[in-house]
Amino acid sequence: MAPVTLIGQLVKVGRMLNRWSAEVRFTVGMSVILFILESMAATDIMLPFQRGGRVVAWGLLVILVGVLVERLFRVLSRRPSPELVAVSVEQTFPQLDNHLINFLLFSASGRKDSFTTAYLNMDIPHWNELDFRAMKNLRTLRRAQIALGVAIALTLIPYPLVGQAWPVAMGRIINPFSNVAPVSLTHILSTTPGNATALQGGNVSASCQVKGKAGHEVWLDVRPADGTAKTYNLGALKGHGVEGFSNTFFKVTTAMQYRFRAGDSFSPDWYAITLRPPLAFTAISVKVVPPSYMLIPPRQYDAQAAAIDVPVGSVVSLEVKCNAPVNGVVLSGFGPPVALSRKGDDKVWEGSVIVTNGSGFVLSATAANGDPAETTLGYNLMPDRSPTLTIKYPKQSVVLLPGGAPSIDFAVSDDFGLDEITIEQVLDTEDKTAPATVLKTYKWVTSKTREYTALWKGDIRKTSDTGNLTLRVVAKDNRPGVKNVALSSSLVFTLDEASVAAKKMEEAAKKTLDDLNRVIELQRENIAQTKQLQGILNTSAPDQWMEAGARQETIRGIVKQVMEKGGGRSLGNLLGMVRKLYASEMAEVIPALQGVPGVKEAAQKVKQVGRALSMEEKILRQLTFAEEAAKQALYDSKNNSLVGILDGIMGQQDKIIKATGLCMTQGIAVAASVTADQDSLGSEVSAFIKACLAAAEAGQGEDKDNAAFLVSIAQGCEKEKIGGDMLLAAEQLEKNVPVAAMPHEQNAYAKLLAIRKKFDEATAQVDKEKESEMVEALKEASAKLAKLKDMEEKLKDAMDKVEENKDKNSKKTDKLEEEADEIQKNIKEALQQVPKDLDIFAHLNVGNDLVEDVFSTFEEVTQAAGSENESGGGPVKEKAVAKREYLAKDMEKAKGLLDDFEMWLGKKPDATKVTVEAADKKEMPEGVALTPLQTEMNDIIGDLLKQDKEEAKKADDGAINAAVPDLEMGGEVMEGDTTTFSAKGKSGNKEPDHKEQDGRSNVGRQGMANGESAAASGTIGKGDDNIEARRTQDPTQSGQVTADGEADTKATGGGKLGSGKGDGWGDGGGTTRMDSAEKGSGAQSLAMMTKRADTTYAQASMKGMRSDSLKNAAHHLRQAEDAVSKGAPIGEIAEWKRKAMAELKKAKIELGERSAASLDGRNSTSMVNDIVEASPDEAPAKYRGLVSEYYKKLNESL
Amino acid sequence: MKHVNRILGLVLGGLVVMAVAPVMAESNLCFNSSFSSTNDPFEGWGLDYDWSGNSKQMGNHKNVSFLSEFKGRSNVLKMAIPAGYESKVETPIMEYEPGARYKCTFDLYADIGNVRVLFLGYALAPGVPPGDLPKFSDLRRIYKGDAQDASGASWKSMTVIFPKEEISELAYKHLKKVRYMTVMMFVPGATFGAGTFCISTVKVVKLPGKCKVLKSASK
Repeated sequence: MAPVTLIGQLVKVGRMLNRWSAEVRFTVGMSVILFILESMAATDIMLPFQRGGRVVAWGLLVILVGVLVERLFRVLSRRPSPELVAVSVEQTFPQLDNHLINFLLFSASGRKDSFTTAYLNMDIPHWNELDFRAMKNLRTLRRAQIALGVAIALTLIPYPLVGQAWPVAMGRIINPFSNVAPVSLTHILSTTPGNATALQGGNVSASCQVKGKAGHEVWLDVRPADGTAKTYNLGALKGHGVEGFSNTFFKVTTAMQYRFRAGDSFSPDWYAITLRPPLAFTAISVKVVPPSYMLIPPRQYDAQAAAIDVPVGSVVSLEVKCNAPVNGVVLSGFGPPVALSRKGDDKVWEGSVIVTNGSGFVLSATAANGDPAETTLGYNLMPDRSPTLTIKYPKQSVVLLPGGAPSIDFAVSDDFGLDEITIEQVLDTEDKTAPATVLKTYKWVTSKTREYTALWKGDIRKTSDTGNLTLRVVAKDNRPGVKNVALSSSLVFTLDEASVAAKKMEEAAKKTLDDLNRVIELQRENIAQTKQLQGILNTSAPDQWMEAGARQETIRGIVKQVMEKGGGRSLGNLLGMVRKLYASEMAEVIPALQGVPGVKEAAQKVKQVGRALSMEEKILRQLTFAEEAAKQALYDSKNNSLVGILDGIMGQQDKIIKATGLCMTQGIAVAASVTADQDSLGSEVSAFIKACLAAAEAGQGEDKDNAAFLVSIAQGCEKEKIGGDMLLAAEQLEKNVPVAAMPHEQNAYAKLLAIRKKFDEATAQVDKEKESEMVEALKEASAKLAKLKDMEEKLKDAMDKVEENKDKNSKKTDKLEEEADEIQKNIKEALQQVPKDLDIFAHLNVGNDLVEDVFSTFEEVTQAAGSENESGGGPVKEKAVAKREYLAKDMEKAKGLLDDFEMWLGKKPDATKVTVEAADKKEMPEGVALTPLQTEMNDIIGDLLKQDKEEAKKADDGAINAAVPDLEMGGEVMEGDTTTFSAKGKSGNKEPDHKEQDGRSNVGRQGMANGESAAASGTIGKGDDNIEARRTQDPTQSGQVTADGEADTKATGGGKLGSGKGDGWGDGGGTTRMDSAEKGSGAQSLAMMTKRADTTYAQASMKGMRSDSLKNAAHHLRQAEDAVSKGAPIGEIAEWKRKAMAELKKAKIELGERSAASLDGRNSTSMVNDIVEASPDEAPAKYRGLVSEYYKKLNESL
Repeated sequence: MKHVNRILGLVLGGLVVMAVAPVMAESNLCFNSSFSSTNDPFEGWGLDYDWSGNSKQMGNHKNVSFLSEFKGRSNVLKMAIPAGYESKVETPIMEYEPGARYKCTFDLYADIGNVRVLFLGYALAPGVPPGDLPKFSDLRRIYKGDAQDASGASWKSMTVIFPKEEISELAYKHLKKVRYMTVMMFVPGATFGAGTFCISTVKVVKLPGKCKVLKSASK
C-alpha cells in the first residue's frame, strides 16, 4: 500500500474521530447548560431575581454556550495527524501489532535500505478488515446522552408542578431584559410617584396599588441617602380587588430611595426621590439715599445681614439675586406693590422705591417650576420727627410781680435741623383762633442747627399790667413742604398785684404746714399704735398690723403731695432730707409693719417691730424738722415779693441811668421811651409803697415786728421822695437835658439801694440770732463731750482694772465689769443725745457747706516675721524703669474719675529701690489734666511697720516726673513710681521715701511731697521726719491739714503743709506763678467769678434759697481755674467753662424764680420721679455739716 | 440589764450635755448666719453695693446664689467672681461693744487665687443720726481688722479676730469710734481672674476680755 493512500485513509478516520468527540462534547455541554438554566429558573421561582441577578445568570449561560461552541469548533476544525490517528487505531485494534505505526515512520524516514523497502512493500496485516466504528466511545456518549435526557426531562417536569411560573422563570433567565414579572399571588400594580424630585423640606407621599391574596402584608422600604434603610409595614391585604397603600414623609431634607413590597410579589426596583432646594434669595443689596435736606450720606446695606436705617422719604434701591430662575419679583409692604425688573438673567432683579412709611419690605418671587419664595426685610424707618421742645422754665404758672420780666428757658432739638423758633403771646381772649403775637423769632437760613437752647427774656411788667400773660414757644424744623411743628404748652405768667401774690403764697405755705401737721399727727398716732401692738405682740391680729402699714401709706402719700406742689419748695432746705426719707424709711416701714405677722420666730418678730418703730420715730423726727423748715421758709420768704418789686424797679432805674449816660456822652437825643419809662417808674414806686403798707397790714396779727419794718420802709420811701426824684428826672429827660436828669436818677437809685440794704439787714439779723443759738448748742455739745471724755477715761481705767484683777478675784472682777458696763451705757446714751441736740437745728440755714469730707480708716496689720531687717526681709532690691513716653500724652487727658478696688496695707516694709528714668522736660506737657475730686476722701492708715533705718534709706526711690491724671487704685498700699492728680493716695503703714514728689495728695504721712493737698481737713501722720524745707513750683492751696502729735511738716509749700498747726507756711513758687491773679488775666477773672459764685451761693443759702446750681457753677469754675493753672488743653478749659455757664444759667433761673416769688400753679405739679436718683449727698447740706461738726468735736474731745 | 441601760443613758446624756454646752455658752451674734431666713436666704447680708456707685462692684448681688448643699456643706452662699470685678460679701451688720473683741469662724471654699477675710469696723456716716441698725449705705468704714488670706479648692475653716488683743493709740483713736462691725470676704478683682468662692457655717462670738491700748505704740 502506498503511504499516501494510507495517510489519506488515516485522515478520514481522524475526521470521523473528531465528529464523534464533538458529539460527546455537545451532549455534555447542553446538559450542563440546561442544568444551570433549570437551577436558575428554580431559584427565580423561590427567590425572584432582580434584573441584576437575572443578567448575571444569563451571562453565565451565555458564557457556557460560548465555551461549548468554541470547543465544538476547535474539535471539528482540528486537522488530524496521521500519526496520532495511527496511534489511536493501533490502540483500538491491537492486531495491527504496530505495523501501521512502523509503516508510517519508515515511509516518513526516507531510508532506502532494503529492510525499510521490504517493510514498506508489505501490506499492513488486517488493515482492510478493520471496522473503525469500534473506535467510537459509545459509553461516554451514552452517559452524556442520558445526562442530556435528564436535563431535558427536568426542563419539562416542573411545568405540571408549578405551572406557568416555570416557563416564566425560564424565560426571565434566558431573557433578562424582558419585563416579565415572576408569577405571584400578589401583585403591585402601580407605584407613585415613582422616581421623582421633591422640594427640599417639603412632604413626599408614596403610594401603591396592590391586588392579591388576603392577609399578604404590604411594606415600604426606604433608603435615605444619609441614613440607614428602614422598612414600614403599611398593613395587610383584605383580598377585595385593588387596594391602595401610602405613606407620607414629612419635611424631607435628604434624597432617598423607596420601594413597595407586597406578599409574595416580586420586589420591584427602587425608586429614587431626589430633592431640589427651595427657591431663595441668595443676595439682597439695598442702597438708601436719604433726602438731601437731611444731610445724611447714602448708605449701602447687605439686607440679609444688617439692619437697615431708612430716613423717611429716602430712595431705596434693591438688587435681588435668586438661586434659581424666577418668573418675577414683587416688592411690597411699604405701599402699593412694585414689580422689580430683570437684570441680566432670570436670577437677578432690581428696582427702586421711595419709602415714607412701613417697617419692612416683603419680597415675593415665583420660580419657573412654581416654587414660591418670600422674605421680609425689616427696616428702621427714621421719621423726621417734630422738634423736641423742652421748657426748663417756667415749669408751672408763675406770678410775675411788677418790675419782673417774663423769661423762658427752653431747649429745642430736631433730628435733621431747625428752621425757626418763635416766642408767641397768646391773646387772652375767648376766640381761640385769634392769631398769636410773635414776640421773638429765631431763624436759620443756611446753617443746619439741630440743637438750640436759649433764655428769652421779655419786657418788664408794669404795675398797670394785670391779668395773665400767656406765652408759648413754637419750633419748626427744616422739612421741605409741610414742616414739623412743636408747640409748647401755655406758659402762664400771672400778673397779680403784690398783695394778692403774697396772700396766695402764704396760703400755699399754710396748706403745706397743715399737711405736715396732719402727717405728724398721723405719725404720732401710728407710733402709739405700734407701741401698743408691740406690747401685745403675741396676741395682736394681722389686721392691726395691716392697718398700721396702711396708715404709713397715707402718710407717705401726703408727703408726696407736699413734695410735688411747687417742687417741694415750701419745705425749704429740708427738701432733700424729706426726699430721702420718702424714698427710704417711708417706703421701708410699710412692708416692715405689714410683714410682722408673717415672721415666725419670736425673736425676729420683736426685732422687726423694733426696726419698724425706729423707722417711724425717725420719720416723725424728721417730719417735725420739715415742719419747722416749712415755717422757716414761710418766714424767710414773707418779704420776697416786695424785694422782687424793689429789684425790678432798681433794674429799670439802672437801665434808664445807662441810657441817660449814653445820651450825655454821645450827645444824642433822649428817646421818648426812656422818658416814659422814667415817668412810669415813679408810679411803680408808689405801687411798691402801697404793697408794703398792705403787707404790713396783712401781717399785723402774726409778726408785728415785720409789719412795723414794712411800714418804716414805706414811710422811708415817701420821706426820701424817691418818686419825686424820678418825676424830676422825667421832666428833664422830656426837655432833652440828660445832664440835668442824671443827678435825680442817681439819687433815686441810691435811695432804692439803701432800702434794699435794709431788707438784707433785717434778714441777716434774724440769721445772726439763729447762728448764735447754734453756737450755744455746739458749746453745750462740747461740754457734754468733755464729760464723755472723762467717762471714757474712767472706762479705760475700769477696763485696765478688770484686766489686772482677772485672775485674782472673780467677784471683784465682776463688779468692775459691771461698773465698766454702766459707764459704757452712760456714754452710749450721752453720745446719742448729742447729735439729737444738734439735730434740732437741722432746719437752720448754714452758709458755708464747702467743707470737704475727709476721713481715715485704720487697718490692723501683723508685720511679717523678720521683715524689719535684712536678715528677715531680704536685701533691698533695685528696680530700674525705663522712661514712660506713653504717659506724656495721657497726662493731658482726664477721662473722669476712675473707680477703685479695695486697698489694704502690706505686711512688709518697702524693700525695693525704684529708679525711673525721668521724662525730658521738653517732652512734658505744661500741666497734667485734672479729674474732678471725689466727694469724700478715704485715707487708710496703720501702725508704721518697723524697719531698719539703713535698709529704709537704701530702699528710697529716685525722683520721678511721670504723672497721670488718675489711676485705678487697688491692692496693697505702697509708694508708687507715678504721680497722680486724683488725690487718692493713702497714708499707709510705711514711711514715705525721701524724694521729691508732687501731684495731689490726700492727707498722708510727713514726707517730702511738694504738691497740692486736696484735703480740706485731716491729720498728717508720723512718717519720714528727715524732711527739708523746699520751694514748690506750684503753690496752689494748702488745706486745713493738721500735724498729728510728733509729726513734723516744715515748709513744703502745698502738699504736706500743715497750715495753722504746722511748723511753718509754705514758700511761694518760682518766678512766674502759674495761678497768676494779676488783674485782667484769665485766671484772675475765673478766680473772681468763682469767688462771686461762692459768695452768692452763701448769700442765697443765708436767705433760705437752695441753689445747688450755683454751688456746682463755683465748682466747675474752680476746675477751670485748675485747668488753666495746669496748662490743660483749651478744650478742657472750655468744657469746664461751658459747664459752669450752664449751671450759672440754671442758678439764675432758680434765684430769679425765688425772687419773683413764684407760686404753685393751679394745675401744675412737679413729680417726684427724681427721688430715686437722689444720692446721699442730696441730704440737706447744713444738716450734714452740723453732724460733721459734731463728729469733729467728738474727735477733738476724745 | 436595767442597770446597764441606766448607765448607758447617763453616759449618753452626759455626752450630749458636753457637746451642747459650748454651743449654748457662745451665742452666735451674726443674724441669719446659716442663710436660713424664710424671707430671703441672704436677709441682712451685705451683697448689694450699687448704692456706692463704684462700677467695680455694681451688680455684686447678682453674682450670689444659695446652695442647699455643696461639697458636704449645707446652706452655702456661693459667689461668682467675674474677671476684673471685685466680688465681696459682708455679714449682716452687728453692733460693736466698745473695746470688746470678737471672733468669727466659718468655712470657706475658693477655686480662685485668693480670698481676703477681715472684720470691718464702722461708724455712722455724717448726716445719719443714731438709731436702730442702719443700712450699709449709712455707714462709714473706719477700722479694718487683721486680714486673713485663703485659697485652694477645698473647704477650709477660717478664723478672724477683731481687734487685736493689744492695739496702738492710733488704732484706739479709730476703734473708739466704731459702733458697728461686719466680716467681709472679698476677692481683689484687680489681681485675680474669674472663679467662685463659697461660705458656710458662719459664726461670730464675743471673746472674753477687752483689748489693751499700748502706750508705746507708734502714732
